[in-house]
Amino acid sequence: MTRPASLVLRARRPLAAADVQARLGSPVLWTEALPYAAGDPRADALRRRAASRPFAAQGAPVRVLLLTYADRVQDLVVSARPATLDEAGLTDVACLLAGDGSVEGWPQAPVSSGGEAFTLPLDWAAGTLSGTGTREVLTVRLPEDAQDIEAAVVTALSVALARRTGGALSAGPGERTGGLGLRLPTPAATVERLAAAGLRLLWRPPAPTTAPLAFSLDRDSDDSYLLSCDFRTDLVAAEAARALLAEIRDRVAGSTDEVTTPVAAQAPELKATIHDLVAARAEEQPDAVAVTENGVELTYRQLLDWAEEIATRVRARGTGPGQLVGVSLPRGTELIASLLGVLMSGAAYVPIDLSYPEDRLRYMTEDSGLTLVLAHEQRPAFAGVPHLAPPPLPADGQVRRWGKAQPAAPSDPAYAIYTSGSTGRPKGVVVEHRNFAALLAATQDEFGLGGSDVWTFFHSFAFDFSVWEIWACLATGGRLVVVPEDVARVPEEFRELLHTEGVTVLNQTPSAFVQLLSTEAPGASSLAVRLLIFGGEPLDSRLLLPWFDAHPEDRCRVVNMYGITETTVHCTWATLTRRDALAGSRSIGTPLPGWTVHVLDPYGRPLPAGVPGEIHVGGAGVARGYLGRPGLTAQRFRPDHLAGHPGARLYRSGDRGRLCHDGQLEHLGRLDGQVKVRGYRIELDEIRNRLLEAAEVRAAAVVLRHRGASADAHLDVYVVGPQADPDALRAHLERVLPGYMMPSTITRIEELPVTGNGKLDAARLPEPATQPRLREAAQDAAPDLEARISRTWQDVLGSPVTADDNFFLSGGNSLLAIRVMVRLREQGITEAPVRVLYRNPTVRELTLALAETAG
Amino acid sequence: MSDNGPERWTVLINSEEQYGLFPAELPTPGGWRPAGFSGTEEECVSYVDEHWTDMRPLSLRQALEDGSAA
Repeated sequence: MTRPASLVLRARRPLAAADVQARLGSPVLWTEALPYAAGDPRADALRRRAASRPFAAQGAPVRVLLLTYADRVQDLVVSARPATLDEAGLTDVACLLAGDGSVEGWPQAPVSSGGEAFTLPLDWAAGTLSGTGTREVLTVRLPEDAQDIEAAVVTALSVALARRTGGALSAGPGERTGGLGLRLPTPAATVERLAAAGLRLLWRPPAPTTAPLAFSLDRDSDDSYLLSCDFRTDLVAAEAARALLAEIRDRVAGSTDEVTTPVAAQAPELKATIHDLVAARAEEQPDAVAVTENGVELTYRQLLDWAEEIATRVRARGTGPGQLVGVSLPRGTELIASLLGVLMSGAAYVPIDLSYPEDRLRYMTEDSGLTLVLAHEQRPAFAGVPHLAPPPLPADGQVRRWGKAQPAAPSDPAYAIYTSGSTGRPKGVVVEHRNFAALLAATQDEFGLGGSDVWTFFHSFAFDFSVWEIWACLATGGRLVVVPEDVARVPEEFRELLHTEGVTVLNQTPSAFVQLLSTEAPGASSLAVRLLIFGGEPLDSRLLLPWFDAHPEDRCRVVNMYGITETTVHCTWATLTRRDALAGSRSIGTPLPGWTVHVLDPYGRPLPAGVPGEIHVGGAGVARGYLGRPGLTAQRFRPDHLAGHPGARLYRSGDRGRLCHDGQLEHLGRLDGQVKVRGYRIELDEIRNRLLEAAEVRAAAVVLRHRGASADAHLDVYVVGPQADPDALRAHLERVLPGYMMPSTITRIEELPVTGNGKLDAARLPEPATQPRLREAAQDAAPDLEARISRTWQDVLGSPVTADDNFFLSGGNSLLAIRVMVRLREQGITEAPVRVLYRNPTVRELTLALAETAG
Repeated sequence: MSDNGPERWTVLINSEEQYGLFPAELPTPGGWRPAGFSGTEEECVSYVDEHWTDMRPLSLRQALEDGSAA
């Protein structure tokens, strides 16, 4: 770093070159006569260049240049090698050269360098870095009427930096430089000395430094103040420096526009209930197909007739607005009609997934205070709540009035979806009709949703992504294709369905998308998908590159949507392009119209762009709250002190994020132990707390791990306790947790490793143990076949298995299942679909099944 | 200054009679008023659990009453 210390001085009296040279002594005086005036822009550029020119490796300690312009004005540029003379020393030199007799001899004292070094974290300054390691200077003019500007700048600079680095928030106004690398204006005394010598300070370049950032406060020729930021372009993005300077200027002026996130435009108000919206589409196009399931079609008229029939029966049981009806039915047209029927009765539905264990079903039933369950059979888990089997589809041709009998209001609840709770019990999120209506209003036009669209109903109806799939489709007059579960699990079959049904709007979690991507190949059946929407978990945008190869951006729009159940499915959106995918963009975009998003510190203060904090969401999507949990609701849904209308609330998401300088949001992970596995939201503490219920478990840890792509996310559990038995604990968990929350492995260890702070040190946990149960393998029809299958499983799972180990309990998942079948196909063993593995999940069973079909 | 956020919280209530926790030192946002309790976060949560008995918005409850009265 050889940028010199320099001063550019305007001579007020004529300087004769010979005199100056004589006073300079041995170093050569450089002189230049310019053909333009001192005020010419070329003169300005020349002075700056001259003052900034680095010194050669060897040579004189100072360099002096005398410029004489065409209008007889003269400037003196005095430069010294870095770390040899400070500003006072340079001033002495200048005065000496100008013939000021007060200066005795040549200044000697070398200045100690490194005084302004300061170490600041710079993650807030990242952005579009130019990466060349050069330095750039940005300057702002400060307001003229500000009081005591120097002190104000010091304070403003320390506050602005502290907000970005999480440091202390105020520097006393008495501190002059505070170690901030702020160079103050030339002191008045120096200005007077120069004046006495017939010189006026015109300009000084940024002080030589290697620090990533340095600041300088200077007086301009009109006496106004200029604040400059001199920064390394490979460490600090220009837009970050610009934003910092602008903030300091605003603070000095006394007006700080707190940067909140871009508040999107208001969406048009849509005050309607979900069933009103669907009924409106049915009036418009009664004979259009609303739902397709395995080739069976239901028109809008039929759907509404059926739902009205169900609603009548539900109402007859005394159910109405504000009440909750459980729905526990298999995926299909009957389920859709039943959900709509519950809504039309005025009640809200609570999805109850049939695959959940009894304990969880009983808990949800009691906790939600259901008055009725729509199901085909009574189950003990329904804890005595009356059940109603949905009636069959009524015959065509009957005139009906749809949903008018007991209308719900838009602010009535539409559904309550249970999500994993960190205390060990799930909690229900109550979402109102108007929340969904706002979501529709915000997205409908932008996405161009309408009657020619075909959607898939792919996700579990207990997962709020399905709320979007089902109701956004039906409320806009589209056709909903029910994807059977075994088709959903096999990417080739799912692709075939997408092709055959001409699906245009496809909603996927990134995990599911990875599997669909595996079907992309030359000659693969074409897809009519025009809108691909991601949700449920963070997206690695690089996954999209192969998709864009096969599906150009102008034919299929790809949108990444971030959302939370508590703010009605979606929150922000980002349309992604191939360029974004190449850059590995992590953007989650901007808020939906009607939603607000803020990145706040723990005190609720908005953070500047680039600084990570907690994402808070306000606006039209904020749900009513947690069912039966007022205290928790008040804790998570807080008064909105920022952008909302009076009385509005802001939801603390627990997600870490930051606002980028271009106005987009970035998602940076969780602040707590909540994870997403294949799109499902799981509180690790819920699993942990259930384990701790067992007396023999003294301590437990639950860790999320990935093998390769995100589809391989799984949970490993570690327990401490001499009597802890992994098999027994697994059985215990199976009784209380839904399948998607079950860990892949349970390993007993002596004690949990902790860091110096006493927190779990997950890196020091051992490899999980698989669960071999040693049994003799029976001789069967094809022992060689069994051995080969066994070996394939072991290769794919990466651990030994016996003939009776369940694939999915030995660390397997749907992606690895596909891998096994591909390998078996490669070995010429079988062409069977992966469905066969699901139905025969042990080596022994699979061997028998394959031997049967072969023999 | 700790990283964990405010230590003292106030329970606020809005015109729909919904409760919300808020840092005690910050000015009350528009549309909210103090419910009359301050303390640690846990104490405030307990207070709300005890006092917020009907989580339906007030306007909705009133509309229902008007509807049934008519």
